[in-house]
Amino acid sequence: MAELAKVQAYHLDFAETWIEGNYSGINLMKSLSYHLVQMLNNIYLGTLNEVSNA
Amino acid sequence: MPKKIAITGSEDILLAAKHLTDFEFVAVTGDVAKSLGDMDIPNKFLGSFISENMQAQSMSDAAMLSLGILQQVPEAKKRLHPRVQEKFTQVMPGFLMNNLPQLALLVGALDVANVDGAILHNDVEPLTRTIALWCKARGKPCYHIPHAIYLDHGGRGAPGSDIHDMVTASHLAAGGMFQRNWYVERGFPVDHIGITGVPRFDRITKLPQNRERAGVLLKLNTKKPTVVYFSSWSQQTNLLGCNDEMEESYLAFLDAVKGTEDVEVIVKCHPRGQNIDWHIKKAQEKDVRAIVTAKYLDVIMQVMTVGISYGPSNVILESSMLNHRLASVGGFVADPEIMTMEPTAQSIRQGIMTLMANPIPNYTNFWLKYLGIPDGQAAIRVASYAREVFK
Repeated sequence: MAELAKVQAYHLDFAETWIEGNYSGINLMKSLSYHLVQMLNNIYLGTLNEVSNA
Repeated sequence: MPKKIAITGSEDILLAAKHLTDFEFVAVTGDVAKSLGDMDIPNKFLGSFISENMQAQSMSDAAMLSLGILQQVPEAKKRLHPRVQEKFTQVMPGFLMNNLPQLALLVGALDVANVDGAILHNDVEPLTRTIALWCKARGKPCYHIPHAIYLDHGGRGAPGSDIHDMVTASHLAAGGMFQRNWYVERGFPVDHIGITGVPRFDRITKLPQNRERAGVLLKLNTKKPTVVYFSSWSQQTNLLGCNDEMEESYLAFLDAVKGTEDVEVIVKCHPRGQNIDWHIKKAQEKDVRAIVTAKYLDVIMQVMTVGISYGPSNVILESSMLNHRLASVGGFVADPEIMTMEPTAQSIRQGIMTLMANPIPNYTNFWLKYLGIPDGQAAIRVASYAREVFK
């Protein structure tokens, strides 16, 4: 759980800060954080499944 | 001049809007425009501010913006887990082109509509967060009337690690002190929060208390107690919620009530869960006779004797207003009014018997904590605070 919490926090931080998408004074990458975190989490969980299925 | 306010949809917002008929609403989606129209509340649809040129411009702008963002990906992705990097790079172009044109168009439409602010049911999903960010960038108030009370007690990680922790709106309607404090912990300015109660719970104060009739509607034997299990769904925005606990808890509940002829059983699925088929299948596999439904909450709450939720669900707050015996698998650990059960058949079976043997708790303090004063006037208080926000 501690590892998942760490990755979760990291994914949110990544979605919030690591890519800039300024449009008319609004960072649309922040708008997409909800879906971006979801996507990163799904990719991460997918890699865990790949490991467990190997 | 009436205040021109962009508005998104939730039951809470629509109930408050009934008391704000002097506002000029700009409905962000067609559904909201229809709902307001059905309530005879005049409004303009935000889409009506969109011209053909604006659509073409937003597509072009989104393409350019995508290019700029994709150029940042090779450097930014180095910060991701090595096994995530490749897939992330592959999906980003499609991800951006699926989302950015709509958001660019939204920004353009808000600029043309030139609203005085916005009322939102959340400020984290792409559409709503863009509106909240637009308000922030243009120096206009954004009033968040949450569609739910986030009840996690640390289960979603430390404040700041969940997307729901991101505060973008400028003002908030809080159900009670718990929700107020939850947002203050996450950086919300305390003097921008109104304690209002929850408008969608106003109806509970007017709900008929007719267990017999509810039993007839659901074809239940009301001579027997009715045990209701409120199930849930998993949101993949938080890895800590991506586990099998919801499923394990439900299977434990089925084992707990299996073979019991003395009670009626209802399994109430989450309305947004889209997992009712799985719940029916598991009840059939375990040979448990139960009504499994995602609907009829108000009727179910009338016939309910004992309610058990998976985790700390808002439905427990609603049910408390009808003075039921209530429990949660893993939730409400700090609230003595709600029994906390383990996700095992033995714990749930023992808990049901204990609840039925004991008197109904006094919920006054529980209500103050989560719902303020549940007097059926929350919609009026939410509307009243809106006047302060947009004055």
